[in-house]
Amino acid sequence: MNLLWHQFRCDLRANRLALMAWSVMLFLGLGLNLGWIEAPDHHAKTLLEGDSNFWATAVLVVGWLLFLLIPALLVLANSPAKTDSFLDTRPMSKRDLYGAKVLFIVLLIVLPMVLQEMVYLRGSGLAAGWVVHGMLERVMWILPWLGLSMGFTALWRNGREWTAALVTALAGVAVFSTVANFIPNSGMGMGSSSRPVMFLYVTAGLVLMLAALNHRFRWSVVKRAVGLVLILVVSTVLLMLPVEVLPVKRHAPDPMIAARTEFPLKVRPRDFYLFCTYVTNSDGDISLQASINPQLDKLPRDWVIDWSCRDSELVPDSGHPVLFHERGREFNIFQWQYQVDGAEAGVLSKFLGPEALIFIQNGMFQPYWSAGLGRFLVPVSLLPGKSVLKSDLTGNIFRWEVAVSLPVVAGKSTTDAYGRWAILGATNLNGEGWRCIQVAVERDQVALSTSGDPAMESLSPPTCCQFKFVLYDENSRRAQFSEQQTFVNFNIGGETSFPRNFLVPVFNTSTIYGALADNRTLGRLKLIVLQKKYLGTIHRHWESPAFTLADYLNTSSSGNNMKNEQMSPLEFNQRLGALPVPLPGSSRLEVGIYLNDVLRLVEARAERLPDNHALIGQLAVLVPKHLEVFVAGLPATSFFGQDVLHRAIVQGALESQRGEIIAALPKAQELARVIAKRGWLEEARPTLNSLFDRGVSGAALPANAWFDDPATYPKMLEQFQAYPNTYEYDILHLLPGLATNLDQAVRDFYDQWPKVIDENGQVRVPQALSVGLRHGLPEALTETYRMFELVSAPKRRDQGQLINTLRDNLEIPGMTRKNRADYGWLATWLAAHRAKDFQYDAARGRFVLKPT
Amino acid sequence: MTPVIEIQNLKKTFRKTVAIDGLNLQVPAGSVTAFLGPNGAGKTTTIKCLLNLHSPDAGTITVLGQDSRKLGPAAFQKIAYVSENQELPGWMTVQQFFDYCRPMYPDWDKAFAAKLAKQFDLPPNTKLKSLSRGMKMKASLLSSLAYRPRLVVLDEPFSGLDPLVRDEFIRGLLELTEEEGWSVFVSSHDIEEVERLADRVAIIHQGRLQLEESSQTLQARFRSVEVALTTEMTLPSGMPSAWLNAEISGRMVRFTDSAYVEHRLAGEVARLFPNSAPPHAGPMTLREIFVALARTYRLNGL
Repeated sequence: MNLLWHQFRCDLRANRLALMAWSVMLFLGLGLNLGWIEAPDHHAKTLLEGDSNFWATAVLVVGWLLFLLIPALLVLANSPAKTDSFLDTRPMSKRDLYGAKVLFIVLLIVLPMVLQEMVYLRGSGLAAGWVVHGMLERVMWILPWLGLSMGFTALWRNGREWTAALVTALAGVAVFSTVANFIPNSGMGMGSSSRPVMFLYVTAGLVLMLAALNHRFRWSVVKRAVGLVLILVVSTVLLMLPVEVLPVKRHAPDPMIAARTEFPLKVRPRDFYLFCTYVTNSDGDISLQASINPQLDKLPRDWVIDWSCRDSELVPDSGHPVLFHERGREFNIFQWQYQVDGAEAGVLSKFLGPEALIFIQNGMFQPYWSAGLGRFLVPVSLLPGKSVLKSDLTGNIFRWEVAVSLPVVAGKSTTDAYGRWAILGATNLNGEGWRCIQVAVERDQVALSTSGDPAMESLSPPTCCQFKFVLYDENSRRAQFSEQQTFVNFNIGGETSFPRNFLVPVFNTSTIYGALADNRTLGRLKLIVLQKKYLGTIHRHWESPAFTLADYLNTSSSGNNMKNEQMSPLEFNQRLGALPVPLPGSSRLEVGIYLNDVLRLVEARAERLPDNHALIGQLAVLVPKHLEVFVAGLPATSFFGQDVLHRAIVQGALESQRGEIIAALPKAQELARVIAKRGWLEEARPTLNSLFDRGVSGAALPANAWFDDPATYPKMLEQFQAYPNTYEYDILHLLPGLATNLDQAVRDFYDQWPKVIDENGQVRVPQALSVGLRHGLPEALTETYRMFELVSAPKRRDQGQLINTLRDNLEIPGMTRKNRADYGWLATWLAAHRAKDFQYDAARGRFVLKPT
Repeated sequence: MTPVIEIQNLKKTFRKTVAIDGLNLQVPAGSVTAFLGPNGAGKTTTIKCLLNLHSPDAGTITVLGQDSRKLGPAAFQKIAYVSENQELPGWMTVQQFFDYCRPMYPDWDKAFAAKLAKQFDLPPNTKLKSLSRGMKMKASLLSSLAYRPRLVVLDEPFSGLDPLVRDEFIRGLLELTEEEGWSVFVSSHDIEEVERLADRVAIIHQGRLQLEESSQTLQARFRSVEVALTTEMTLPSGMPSAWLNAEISGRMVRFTDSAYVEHRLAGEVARLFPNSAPPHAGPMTLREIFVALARTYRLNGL
């Protein structure tokens, strides 16, 4: 024991310079964490521009180098690879020698490192339980790295050999890592697996074992190098095996989830999609991408679910094998959380009350996102046959919660279960492209990779989207989501323990509503932080009904009008006139080329052709012999092209072609208009009804509604409830038998969906308000009018959609055909009135001015 | 007397190279044994095996009555080992080095160490890495002698030392061994280095022991013989095997008698060279003996 301390003191003296550097790094790290040194300038735009902090990076790099170098120096001083080590023939036992080294590392490397963080964390007010858990986890990560460093060093006799070996090994690892990127399942994210820990421990253990054996057998350099390569290979194979050595609770369902085992995975046929992505080879095989939009009944409004596919199989009737591209490549779900955002607005609405107006920009609000089921290579010959898709899915369920609400005043702070929030400051930035309010927030939180809770993992750019930031002004009852947030991580020591994070949400104030506040009044705003918490995971198997691949292949519009410039009528007619018109008896190819050229011109014209335009008649004469060319063109062209085609078919189709047109309905629902106009609805009724299975398009819904068949009410209502919109409402509200249910559906929709205003220069009226107005809900008019009144007066005339929405739902005396599109006149008239001036007139289906 | 080192049938190979091939050797207590051999003969490997730095493939080694494989801290408190290849903690000063070594040895004699330091003229405040090679060897030797070991093992201790330092080193070592009665086992590839030191000699060649004897008996049985002939003749057949390196030059025959007995030499000379004068047998230095042996064994470098 005396010799152990004697050797310890000797090592201490030998490595005093390195230890001094290590101490400096630890103090610098603590200083950075506590903000003594180079606290990030959150007022500057540098954070927005993503500049990293020099000192934080330098301390991190140098600290890690010292962390690995000092143990190496300690080993090299008495390397077991040497046969002439000074102590080999001195009366120093291995126990004392190695005991002294271990004591050195524990007392002078590990302990200070852990204590340094503990000081900071306790100072930050984190609960002792988290701190202890974090300390243990930190040690869990430190030990294998130390073992690796010491084991590797123990293989070499002196510093020169060690340096050469290290450089070679690092080069080898770089090459290996590059190659490993091409190996499936070689991801190193600790987020959902304990395999990286296992990899480190196994590698460190084997390297230490190799060093011990080398001490015994004195192998050559080549043998030692081969041993290291073998270790790397063995460890990597273990890394790739689907074996978890630590209990990763991630996939263990939360009790709340476990209690909801009744969640069935419902996928309506219309929520099953196949997309042809590209033709991959000379055989003409088609690459298909499959996805579904799963429904979860009774999913609470504040929950979101992120589906991912573990495995999929496309099984054709013919038994012909289909190649699945992506088997075994399940995405790391937690890297993609942003895809399932949406429910946060509802949670915020509930938190702030119904009078709050919530503004977002470029947002999307749906509680789930379609789940990709992988890509398949399908031979063209299989397209007409029947197939079935079988998939295993994983659904990760989250719940949005309001984490904290803080006045935007520098120095204000609060703690939650995971750590501390603090407002560092806020700035109202003007100019340089856009105006915005930038709020600097510090988040000190525990980051435990063994906790099983993603909220406790380290904050890094992919997972920091677990937060959403909102500025709320209680005076105007306006809430605004941040458009973007900058993330700066100050974690000294990697991502394994307790990061100090700086989040800088940026709120765009270049809106038509003006700034929420100026620099003097920023303090009246509140910053609300919403957090998405992981609840659990469910696993489901889904099997599609038998379907025909060909029915699902979509072709997109040729998109000739991308420039958004209309072709003049003169040029259109000149070019059209220059095209050689095929005779009715011409070949299919000639007609196809002509139709293609015509549709390009129509798309470029981008306007509905007059009823008496000669083109309709020219095309109509071609329909009797070439109907299938016209039908094929329908889904491939834009609205204006479809209009021309369906008018040509209406005019030219023969009675004998009735059956052919009805049969083509599933592929081109636009034909429903032809069927209606030609009076073939009764005959097409079974086919029209069958469309509900895949979703009825706007073109076919009026045809279905025409029957006023109570048997189809539930399906129509279900379709409306899935995506409520005014177009479908206008059709369905004409069905008297559906009135009660429709009223309930509209009220539910209005009550439950947040009135989120997506504003990007132009106010887009939320569907909940539009449908509410159509249905005559006074509160919808009040809210819509409020939106209008919030816009500054000079800008109101520019809000076309908002004005149109009010115009279409209000009886405006004196409105003529001319001033109907005069937004200046309309804005003036609307501004002269208030929501309370109107009442709903059910007979007219709109709001009218109350009698004075 | 119990030998301090006893090696029996030692074998050690490195991959395909046979370093030691059935070596048998005894080092009596109190003796200074020179372990001689050319470079690559197996001297260092033998020493590393006996100090448990290498594991023998076969055979046994007993050091101070203990199996070499089990030599531990207790045994090393009685053994001193100085090697030309041994690394010293260069960052320490001479004094720090001695302070570092001292706690490892309960028998460390501080006064003796101070006396040695003075005798070796070692600068206490100079770092080991700044010392010359000779001074480093002296420091290493001092750190190995200050605890009065029972066995001193020196592996090529004089290699690369300039003659003056080597002489000082040897003189110091001689005085100490005489005073303390230590057993010394010193390897070298140069007989001159150890000639004054050794009272026993062992010669190893290609991993095999060729000779092991005290210097005294060795010098007693070796003679350089010259025989003057009256007429020129060639070397006769049937010469005794103990006559080494016999050669004839004109009317003079020269050889080394490795089993010298005066009357037997005279009789054999008279029988083989009838017309010659009586032989002249002169004593040989150890170096001359080794040169003769070297020529016989083809021991290059001796």
